[in-house]
Amino acid sequence: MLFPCAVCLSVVFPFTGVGCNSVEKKIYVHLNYTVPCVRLLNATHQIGCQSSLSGNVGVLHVLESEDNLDWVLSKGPNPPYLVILEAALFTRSIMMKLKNGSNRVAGVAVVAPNTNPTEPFSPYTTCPNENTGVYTEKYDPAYAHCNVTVWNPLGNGLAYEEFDFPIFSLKDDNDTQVIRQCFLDHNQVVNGSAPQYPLCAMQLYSHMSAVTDTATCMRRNDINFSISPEGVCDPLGDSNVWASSRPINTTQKGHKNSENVIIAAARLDSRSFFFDIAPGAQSSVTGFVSLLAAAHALRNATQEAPPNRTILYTFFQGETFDYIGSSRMVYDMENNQFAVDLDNVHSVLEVGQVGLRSDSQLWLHSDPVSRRNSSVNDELIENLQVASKDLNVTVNQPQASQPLPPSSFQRFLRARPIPGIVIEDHQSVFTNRYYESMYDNAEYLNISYPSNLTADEQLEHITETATALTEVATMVARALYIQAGGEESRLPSITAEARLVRLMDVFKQK
Amino acid sequence: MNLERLPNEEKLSLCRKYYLGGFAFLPFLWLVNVVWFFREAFVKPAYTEQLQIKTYVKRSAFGLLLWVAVLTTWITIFQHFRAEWGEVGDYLSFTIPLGIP
Repeated sequence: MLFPCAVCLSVVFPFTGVGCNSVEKKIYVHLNYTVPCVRLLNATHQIGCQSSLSGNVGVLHVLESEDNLDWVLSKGPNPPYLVILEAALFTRSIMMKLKNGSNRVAGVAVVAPNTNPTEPFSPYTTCPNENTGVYTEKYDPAYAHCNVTVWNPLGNGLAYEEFDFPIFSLKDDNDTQVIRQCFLDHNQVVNGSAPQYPLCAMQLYSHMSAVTDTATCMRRNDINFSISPEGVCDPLGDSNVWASSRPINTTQKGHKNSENVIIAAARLDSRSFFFDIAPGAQSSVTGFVSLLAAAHALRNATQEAPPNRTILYTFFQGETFDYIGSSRMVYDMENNQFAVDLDNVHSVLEVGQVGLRSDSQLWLHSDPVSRRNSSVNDELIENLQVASKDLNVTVNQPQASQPLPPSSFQRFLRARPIPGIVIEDHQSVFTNRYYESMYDNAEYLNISYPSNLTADEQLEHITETATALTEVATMVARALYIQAGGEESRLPSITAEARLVRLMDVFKQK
Repeated sequence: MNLERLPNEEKLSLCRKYYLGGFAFLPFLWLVNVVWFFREAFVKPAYTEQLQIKTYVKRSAFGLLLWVAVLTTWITIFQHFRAEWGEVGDYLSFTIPLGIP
């Protein structure tokens, strides 16, 4: 008796059948190393993927090319199909066609390659955080909605589409090879005739409870007389991390008369299309590791010869999703719930994506609208130029009419016109080819160790990327010191340590 | 309970109790009344109390049909529009299905 051979991918089955002759084991092969795409909600919409309550089952089909899609969408006699995509085929056009034909598509599994693909891939939108930055119709309609600069031109917006089938990412290992082989043996079209049963199939299970939008979901979470005690959704949230170079009284909230604060900001988070994979090497790790190293470099100078103004190091979480962290800090400052308030802020220096400098150049982005009335940022720019002397870093300003890139500083500007600079390695559009995707990892930044090193030696080895970032960190530290009112004579003693910058490799290992 | 063994007055009294009970928002009592006493009311040869039993059964049937109509209408409307009603729909619900609007 032949059972239809089925390959089962399940996130929930904890079977440990040792020595038992289970029929389930003869039918299903459980796959490890799988990551689903989950459903996310915002105030008005839902995005992401959903499966049915018992999982979506479909006949396996390994897609060869985009033209092969018509087998799945119209010609194939055994719908629904579960499509296996190699990474190169995971494009917007194929996914949108599958989305439109979703009554014949049971799900999609993407084979994540072991090395980064050659094509750029960014599932994020082309204009990050379009509606929650400072460039709204009210502020300046010419700059709203990325009219002047489309920051992420390689973005295909897949992460913001809604799919009603599950999408999983598979690791390219032996089990995936079994899947491909199963397709070739049983499911392939032979001489134009449709394959007969038994056919290989696959089951994907990723049922999502959240639905509609945030307001609905949080309301359903709170309904008391409902039978099920567990909630239906979790709010996106975490903590920002901040510290100051001089102690600030945190029990006393609100405005402090004597404080004048320089905010040194960086973001901590990133995302990708799939759940919980967020390497964010270039998009966030380079930035915050440089700032951490800069803070470490300033430890002596701020103790022995403390400058007039306090430096507030802030690391914001949740910036990917409409600036959760920075908007919360601005909100707290406006409502006197933070140790200082917006009137105490002298200026803002933000470290953005700094890992891919070409010709050792860094670009100092500022807001053209605030520059119209006065030369607010000149002091900061001059200090940065002084700081970059004697270092392997050249700083330049981009075109005068270019707006600020997506950055936490935009939320501060929304509240108050404050002088500020965002340091990035791109002159206008992002140079990051894998912005907010699973390929934005250590390999992309060329962090590699010579293969003949032992694990301990690897811990000590300083890569080129680490050296480059150390230069950036030193420059940021020196600039912060002068901006805070420190003496220029102390600058040569402020240097970042390369071994600290190496700690970014810890973040990359995930 | 076997109606054959009961004297007619007790049959009438039972039918009346079920008929009156159904007014307390208990349409199933009317359903039981109709099904149980149908043969007594319409099939058996006439006896004194049968006329009264017949009226009770007819009225129970009418009440039952009314309830069925109202409930069917309400259930159809609720199932169709619950998602669109947003907050009102959620507060009217005892269990809300997961993962669909």
